[in-house]
Order: sequence, then structure tokens, then C-alpha cells
Amino acid sequence: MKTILVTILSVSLFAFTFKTEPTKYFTREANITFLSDAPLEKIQGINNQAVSMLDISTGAIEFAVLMKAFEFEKALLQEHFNENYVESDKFPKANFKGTITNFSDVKWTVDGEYPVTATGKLTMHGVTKDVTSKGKITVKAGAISATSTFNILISDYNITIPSVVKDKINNSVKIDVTSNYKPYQG
Amino acid sequence: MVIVAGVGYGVYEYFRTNARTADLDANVKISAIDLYNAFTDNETLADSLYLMQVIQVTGKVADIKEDTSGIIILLDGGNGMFGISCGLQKTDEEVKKVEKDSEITIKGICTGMLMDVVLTRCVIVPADKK
Repeated sequence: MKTILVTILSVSLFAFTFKTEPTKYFTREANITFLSDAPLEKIQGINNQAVSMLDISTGAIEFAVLMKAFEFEKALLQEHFNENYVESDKFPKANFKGTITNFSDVKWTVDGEYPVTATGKLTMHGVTKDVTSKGKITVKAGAISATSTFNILISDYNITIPSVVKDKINNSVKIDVTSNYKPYQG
Repeated sequence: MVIVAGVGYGVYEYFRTNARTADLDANVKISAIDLYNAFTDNETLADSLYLMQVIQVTGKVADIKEDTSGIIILLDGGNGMFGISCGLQKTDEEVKKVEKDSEITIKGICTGMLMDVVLTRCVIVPADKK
């Protein structure tokens, strides 16, 4: 009996020592879309090559995106977006650095959907603003994904809309974020 | 006549879509490792050389990932983790033939570097058109 117990303890200790769960997760395929829904026009930009890092031990979450990698249905809109509004030559990247404030509510190894809130700083067009967004963490068969939807005012980021197109561009833009993470092996 | 032409041009411009990458000639032909190293060595210089250029890049397929919005093929950059992230359309039939660890050539628009160098609007370049 004692031998069996020692064997079980030894195996458990071995497993504990050598099988540590990853704490950092990463994706290079995060999907970020924005939608401007104005009276005369809906404008959607899609970027599915954003990077994101998630640390489940601290709740730290970061996103970075290349502004030139947003794709639009119409080429003219894409050119105006880059040249006139976000000035992507001057400000090529946007990023969010924040924390999932209730990360301890998420059971990272138990399948389920967990409502979360992230707060942090969004930097775009050379302007940094505090942002809070609600979202959802999904754990399924060991895979972790995150979704969030929030609105920003583009005037907060020193992006001005000429009066001639004010019926085509909404100052309030909806941002949708979807990230499917995998363990980071850096 | 001038007014009609002007209106016609305006309508054409308004509805114009991005050119198909397959129809564009590559400005630069380079290996995935050389392109990745160019950005890690000097991002400012690499931006000046490659940003928004049509790049034809050849390398080893390190990863293929498909989701609802498209397909991302990662070409090995030589450091084991990062490389060239190539965004392709799900409708691209050539993508279905791509296998991990095979060597392929992809043409796309270089939009800069995050952790990987990012190419958008990519297409697979067939062997007879490299």
C-alpha cells in the first residue's frame, strides 16, 4: 500500500514539475473591424492580421494593428482612410494596452463563456485615450478566444471629418475584435 | 460631353475596387528570410523600400490558419517564431493545395511590420509564373 502511495505521489510530483500550463497566449490573426454607419453611407474596414498577446496570470492584454492593412470594399475609401483620416504614413500603427479587470473570474482551463471587462489605453493617430470595453472570453477544448465590441469617437483621436462628407462618416465608430489565441512559445 | 465624362469618371472612381494582385507585376522579388531580416535590421529603411509595394516572396510555409474572414499563411522568417504573415482570400483555390513545410511563392502588398512582416491581398504565384 505504501509503495503504491509513494508511486502515485511521485508520478503526481513529476507531472506537476514538468507539465506547467502556459500563461501567455498569442495570435497574429486577430480580426478587427470598424463600422461607420452614417445616414448616406456605411463604411467598413476589415483587418484580420492584427497581433494580440494575452497573459492569463495577470489579465494583461495587448493588440497592435497596421493601419494600412485595413481592407475596404471600395479602393477610394481605403485611400481616403489612409491619406486623409488616419494618416497612416505618419501614424502606421495603432495599439491597445490594457488589463482584463475581472480576469480572476475566468476559469482558463474549464470550458465556458465568461463575460469580461477590459480597460486600457488605445493609441491611434498619435493620440492615446483611456478605453473600457466589455467582451467575452471563451474557453473550449483548451483553446482560448476573446471577443469585444465597443465604440470610439474619432474626434477624440484628432481625426476631423470635413463638413462636405459629414453625412457619410459617423463620428462614432463601432469596433469589433475577435482573437483566437494559441500558447506563446517565445 | 465634358460633364458626362466627368460624372462617368466620378462614378467609376466611387465604385472602383482594389486591383487584383494577380494582375499586378511584382516590384520586388525576395526570399521570406531576407524580407524579414530587412525589417528587423532597419524598419525605417525597409519601410522606405517595401511599404505598399507589390512584393513577391518565396519561403517555407510555417503555418496555415483559416478563420471566418480569410486565410493567413506564415512564411518562415528564419527565427522559428515570426516571419511573413500573408493574408489570402478564402476563395483562392490555390491555397487548398498548400502544405505546411513546403516552399511556395506568394505575391502581396506589404503593409509594414508588427511582430511579422504583413502582406495583404496575397495570391499564390504558380510555379510557371515565378
